[in-house]
Amino acid sequence: MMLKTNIDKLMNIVIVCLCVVMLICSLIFINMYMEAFTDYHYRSADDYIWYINDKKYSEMTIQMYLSKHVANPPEDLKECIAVAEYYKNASYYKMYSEVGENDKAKKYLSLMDENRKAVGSLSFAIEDINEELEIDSGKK
Amino acid sequence: MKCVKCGSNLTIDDKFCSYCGSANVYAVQHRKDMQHFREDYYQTKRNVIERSGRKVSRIAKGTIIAGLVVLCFFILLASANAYRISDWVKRAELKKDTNIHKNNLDKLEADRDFFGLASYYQINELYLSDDLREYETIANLSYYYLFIYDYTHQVLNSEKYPYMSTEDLTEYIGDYIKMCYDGFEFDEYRQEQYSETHMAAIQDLRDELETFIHVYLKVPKEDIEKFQQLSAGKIQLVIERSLDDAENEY
Repeated sequence: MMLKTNIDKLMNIVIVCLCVVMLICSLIFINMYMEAFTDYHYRSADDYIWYINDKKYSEMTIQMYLSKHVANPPEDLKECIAVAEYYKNASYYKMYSEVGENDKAKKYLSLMDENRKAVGSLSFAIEDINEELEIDSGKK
Repeated sequence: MKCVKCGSNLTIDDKFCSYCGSANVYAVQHRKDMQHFREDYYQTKRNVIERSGRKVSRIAKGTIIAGLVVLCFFILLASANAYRISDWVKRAELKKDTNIHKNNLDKLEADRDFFGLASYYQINELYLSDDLREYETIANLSYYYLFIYDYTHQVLNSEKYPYMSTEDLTEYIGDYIKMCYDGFEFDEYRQEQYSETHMAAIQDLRDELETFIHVYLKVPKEDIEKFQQLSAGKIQLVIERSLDDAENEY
């Protein structure tokens, strides 16, 4: 009788232990699965402002390309993206101007004009970028 | 049965003799026996139920334990393959949107927006899709180009990046340029895999990259033409020498 009671108790303990193990395993699986779907690509306006403050415009441009943007970005994020795009277009404008490919240079110049209109309160960055890339701001 | 006193006939239900009024001893004994049998019956029934109940309970617990062990095994197996499972789910989702991605990639390729193409391919994890394999080369080359662009601007603005030495940056640039030139090499087999549209885009990317290297890293065009045959280390040396020459000239 004693043995029978012990077997019953042992079975109950085994069930509880297995339930705990299953719960832990499930949590590990969910954690790993969710991690695979985590979006590490998003950058907020604050992330971009950090690059603008440090005048790291080229890095900001790369971050823009490596980031996933929301469908309708808020106004401050739009301005940051415009600054990053301005840097990229300005660097291409300079590149094609220097090698005399005027058609391509013109294309990037018009894109720069579009970006300049979109930078809003970050317009001070335009001067910094022109200075860094040694672009004559009188041309525009 | 008969009455022990007067001998008249009695039934088992008669408690007393209807003739002499004496107690029916058989009926009393019978009731005692019935009471005993009933108790015995219920006791046996209780024992059987208890025994079979314990057996059923053990079988149920054993089944639960076996089920839990199997479940734990499968969950452990799933945890070990969580990334493979998530890739499989992503692949299934990509398959649904293949045409949308294909159109977007075609547009980016037609616009020669190489950075946009690299970024779109990476962010949407299109490398998981077998249906979009034809864009792999142009997307990878664009991705290397993106890093060359970044590191080049870091070299040119080294005062803003004090944690990176110029030697390290030119080493990275050399590595990525080498990877690009390896990707530009198309043997007959690979040429068959890519459409003329992709080949033309790759050629334009090469032209753009060479212009970029010439303008920003100051490498003369005749030196760039030799990059295809050079190792990553030698490309790094050419870049460092060109930057030094440009600085001395300036």
